[in-house]
Amino acid sequence: MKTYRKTTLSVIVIATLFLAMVPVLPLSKPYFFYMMFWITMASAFNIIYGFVGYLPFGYVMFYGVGTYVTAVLWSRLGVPLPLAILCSGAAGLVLSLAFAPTLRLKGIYFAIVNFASAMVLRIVVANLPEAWAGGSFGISLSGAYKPLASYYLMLALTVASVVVGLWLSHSRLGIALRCIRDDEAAAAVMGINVSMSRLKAWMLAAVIPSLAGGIEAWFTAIVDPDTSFNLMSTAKTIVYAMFGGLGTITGPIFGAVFMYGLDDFIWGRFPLLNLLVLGVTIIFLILFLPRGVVGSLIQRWPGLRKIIE
Amino acid sequence: MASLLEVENIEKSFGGLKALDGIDLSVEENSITSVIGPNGSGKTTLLNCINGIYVPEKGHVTYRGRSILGKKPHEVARMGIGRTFQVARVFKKIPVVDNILAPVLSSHRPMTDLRREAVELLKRVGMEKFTDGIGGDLSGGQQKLLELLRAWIADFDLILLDEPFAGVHPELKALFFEEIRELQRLGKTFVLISHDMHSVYTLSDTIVVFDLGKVIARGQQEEIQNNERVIEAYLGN
Amino acid sequence: MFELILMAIVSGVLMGIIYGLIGIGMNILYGVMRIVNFAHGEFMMLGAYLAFTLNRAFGLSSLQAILVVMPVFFILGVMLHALFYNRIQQSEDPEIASFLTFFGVSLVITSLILMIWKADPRSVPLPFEKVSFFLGPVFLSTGRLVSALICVLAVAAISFFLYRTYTGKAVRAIIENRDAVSILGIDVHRVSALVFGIGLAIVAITGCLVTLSFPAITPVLGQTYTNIAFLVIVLGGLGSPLGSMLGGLVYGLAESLSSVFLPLALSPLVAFVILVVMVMIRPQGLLGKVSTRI
Repeated sequence: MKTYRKTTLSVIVIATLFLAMVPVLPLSKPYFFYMMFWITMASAFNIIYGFVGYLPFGYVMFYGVGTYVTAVLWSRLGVPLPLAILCSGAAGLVLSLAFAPTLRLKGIYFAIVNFASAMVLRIVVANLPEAWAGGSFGISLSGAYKPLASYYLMLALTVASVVVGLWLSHSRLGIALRCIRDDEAAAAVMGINVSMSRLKAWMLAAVIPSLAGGIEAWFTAIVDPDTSFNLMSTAKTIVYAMFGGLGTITGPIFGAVFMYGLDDFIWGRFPLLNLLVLGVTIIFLILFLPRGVVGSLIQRWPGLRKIIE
Repeated sequence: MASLLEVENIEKSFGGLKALDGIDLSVEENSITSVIGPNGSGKTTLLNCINGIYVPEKGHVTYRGRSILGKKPHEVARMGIGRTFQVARVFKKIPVVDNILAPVLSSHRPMTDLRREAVELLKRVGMEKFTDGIGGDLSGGQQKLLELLRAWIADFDLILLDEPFAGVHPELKALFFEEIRELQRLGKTFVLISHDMHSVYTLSDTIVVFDLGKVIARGQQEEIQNNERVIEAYLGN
Repeated sequence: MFELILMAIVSGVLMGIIYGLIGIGMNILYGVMRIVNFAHGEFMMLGAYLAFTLNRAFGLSSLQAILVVMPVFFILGVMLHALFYNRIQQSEDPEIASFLTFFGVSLVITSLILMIWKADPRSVPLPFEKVSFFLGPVFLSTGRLVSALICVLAVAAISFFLYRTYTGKAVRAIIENRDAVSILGIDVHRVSALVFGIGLAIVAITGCLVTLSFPAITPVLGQTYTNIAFLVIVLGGLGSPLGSMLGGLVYGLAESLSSVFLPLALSPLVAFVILVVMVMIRPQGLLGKVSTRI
């Protein structure tokens, strides 16, 4: 147990150091920024789908609201950016509480209602007065453009979400969530507060993408409704997390790094094929590799669970 | 002796069927009360009404003088009422140790202590080799024993046992007896549902007989064995 | 104002009938197989584009195209069944698995449409001399009227199949209780394959009708129809094929009446808001019994 903890920690430290050096190395900053962004999204999504078993098909809304809160606070009210990004996180929390009643829905009902809610938010945001949210053209933050600062902020968030995932998988909450997933009624009879445990995970899974949205808005310095509430962002989050393996910590990280790399490669060369590849990958994953790469490895060799998690 | 659990005149129906039709039950502290009766007489429904899975339409349930009617299952559990199931409800994909820890996740004791205690409990019943395995690896009897270990670690004061001996290997059954006796020595109270008359007669302080959602008899072994209504209920009419 | 509302009601009913058939196509798959076809709208668009090409290449009208596209889609459905059904049923959560699988399929179809037909809006010439006319004070689109009539015919045929034929009764039995029917000697696998075919044949009809009812088709319209199909079957009750007709009418009316009172940009909101409210309040649908599945 102890040695494996040390290995995990040293891997995290080395990866962090490398990512911290990217801006001074001859490497593409946006590439690694988005790689971290997707690691964060996939890891946070894993909390609600991997641990709790709820599929929020409108997951993009937390990110989208995060981008807008930061953009609006900075451009309209002059709130300093780091503070605006914190407000994005708070907005994510508020949103997750507002949607807490949907947690009593199950399976496909939860997925669809969440998806429809994201669409509602998108339409509402796009139709807010232009003086508030910039309408369908969105908001520019070019006056605040600081790629280096936002890069390091994303690095911090990425490390934080991976650490939160590690903590969760060993914590009481994590065990409770696994019990609930296995047998909800039995968990309740054992004194586990089912709805509260789910709510905690839901809030955690919401606050991270909202913060990521705020940071990403700062990095790209532009926010618009089509990008902020794009269904494809949910799709990519699901695919990246599933490809690596839901319910594991390394899975979403591996999935995001590999699939984002592939996505970026194809996107640069054959933009039309991108959608096709994403679609085929989803079908393949669901039907042939539902546990993902890491999950399948662990299933094949259970001893691996001690080394990779 | 003070009565720990009071069930007063509860009714619960499913559609047109009255599963419980005015049940009264008083469980004294540190006793073993057995509930017997033919299949479908409402025994499991009674347990479900006590620990909050069902809410009865009528009547009262009080525990230590406080009403627990309408409380959610997890709240009832946190008040000190534990439960095992007819078919053991073990978390199949979760490590055996974590399975035992499930009822103490809300406690404030440090996790390392709890883990150590869970492993000790497994040793007690000779199941330490399963510590790192998952719940699904255990046999039916072992799963039932694991449910009892949960009651140990959670320190439940009232433990509801639903058919603990059904389908359990005789050797494991002897172990079960020992564990129940030991828990009783420690001051715990039991409500036991069983079809195993030998076990019921050996363990129980009081026996209550259900038929069609009603109590048709209560008392000691001799009273039950000689009760005409009980014989009728079991043999049919 | 009165005339506006009257027209909204008439057009709402016509569109509602079409929406109802769209819902039946999705609902029959869900009822029988618990398959959530998130590519429903994309399949419709594929049908619409096929109608477009049949028109360009052979001069077929959208109505004639139905006769060609329907059998093709029926076979496509049976093939999809053979490809996906077993795998989906074996997964841990078949409903969510089917949902995600068909989301993947929807991306594949959209990208294929983009590659073959490009992103420009396309339209099929209407086979009528008068594309619209006045019936008293009510302005009617011939395309929509004919589409609604065809939908009524299709619904009648589906009802006949479900209530009068042996196989149709088996389909209803499976919807009622999937576990019990295999004991009765009904071959669930074969009926499922048939239903997949029928479901997609219905999609083919509605897809071709889209080219009659709307001025143009674009590759991204599919998502809109998937959303409508979802809303319609949630309104009518998941797994209740004919309940979809009611769901379709309710949504058709809600949509056209809201267009009288709401700004155009907000009208897509109506569908989503109804969907969320409906699932939260009455997940079993307008007429459905309370189910324990949720």
